[in-house]
Amino acid sequence: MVGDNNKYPLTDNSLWILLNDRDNIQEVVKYIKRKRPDLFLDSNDLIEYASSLLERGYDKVQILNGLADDDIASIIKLEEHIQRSVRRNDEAEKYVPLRPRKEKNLPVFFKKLILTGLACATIVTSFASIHKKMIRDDIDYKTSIYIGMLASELGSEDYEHKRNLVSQNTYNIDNTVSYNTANIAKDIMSVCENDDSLFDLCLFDVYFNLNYDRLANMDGIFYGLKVEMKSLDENNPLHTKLNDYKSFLEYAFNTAVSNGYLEVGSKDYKEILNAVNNYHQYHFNELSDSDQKAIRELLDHIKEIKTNMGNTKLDELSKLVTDREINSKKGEGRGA
Amino acid sequence: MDLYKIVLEDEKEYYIIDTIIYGENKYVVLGNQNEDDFNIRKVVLHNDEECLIKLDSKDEYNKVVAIYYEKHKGELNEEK
Repeated sequence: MVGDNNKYPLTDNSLWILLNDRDNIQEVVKYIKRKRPDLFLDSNDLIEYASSLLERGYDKVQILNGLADDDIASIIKLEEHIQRSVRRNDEAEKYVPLRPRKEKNLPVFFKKLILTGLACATIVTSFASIHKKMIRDDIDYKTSIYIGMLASELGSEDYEHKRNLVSQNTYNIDNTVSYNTANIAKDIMSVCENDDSLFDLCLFDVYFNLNYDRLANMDGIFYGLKVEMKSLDENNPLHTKLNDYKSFLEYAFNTAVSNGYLEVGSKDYKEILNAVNNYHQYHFNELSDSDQKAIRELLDHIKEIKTNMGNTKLDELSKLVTDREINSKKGEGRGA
Repeated sequence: MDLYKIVLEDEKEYYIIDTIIYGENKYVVLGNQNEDDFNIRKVVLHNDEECLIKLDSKDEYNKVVAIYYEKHKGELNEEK
């Protein structure tokens, strides 16, 4: 009775609603279908939407009396967008050449374009409650969020302002015999304590301003940040950001390449690629199995890019990543 | 910022609002003056040329849109 198959895993709450409100669910499903009889709506999706409406606090009477019509209109709009973007099972694959043409001027409705996408996204995040947990645990999702965030920072209108804010503060990354990573960590904390949105930009900025031994020094800074953050409340978002920092270098690298800030094959490209591989070598053992798998896949992907460049060092490093004995001996590195 | 236009199989022009990277795949977020035309396509290599195809599943769509939301949600706050 619960849909045609078990395609969607159910949260406890949704299952409770389904078990106790099955008649309500069926009534709501029929009501939604009546709104747009011409639009194909998958039966499992309809059950998901109906239970989402009930989870949101509407009861059956309210829904059938039209009090949830705005939400239902949003659901229908979302379905239309989805059907424009997702190939049906019976549809043949169509390849449309990309061939982008550059536009000289931004159209006046460009801001509206961005907001249309956001409207769709808001509906997804509101109604895809069953999928939320699946999405949040996905390492690719986390990676992409970081990439998108960094790309947004670099392309944002207030990037220069934030950049100045970050670089005007007291961590001095000038030419020096050795970096005091503990002090750099303290300085980063003084910038970010009251504005955690600057944290990632700080790390990015520090990384690119280090003149040598970037890996070892960032490692030391990471350790310093761990120490500084011990005094923070456990709910402080910086804790999560620091945990995500484990994959920081690959995010920064991918962002820089995909946004054209790093030219494939340039000196910076090779250096950062090297650092990413080295970083994984040091910390590989600390990561979860799924993270280790993701990193291996990333290295394979980078390997494909590097094949044309003939960089044999990457092959050596890739072997080291899979050599767990070397990783376990390294432990946590410390900067100079 | 640079803005690009493409033409889909329906012969309509679309702006590339954004490019999203998720896993090993690249996606383009498309739109034009008609907000009903908003959609997302995946970029693939076909016959040595970059082409756009539709997504494989609703799950894939949800994930890409969720990433788009995280990237641009600040602009939603600016509108408030």
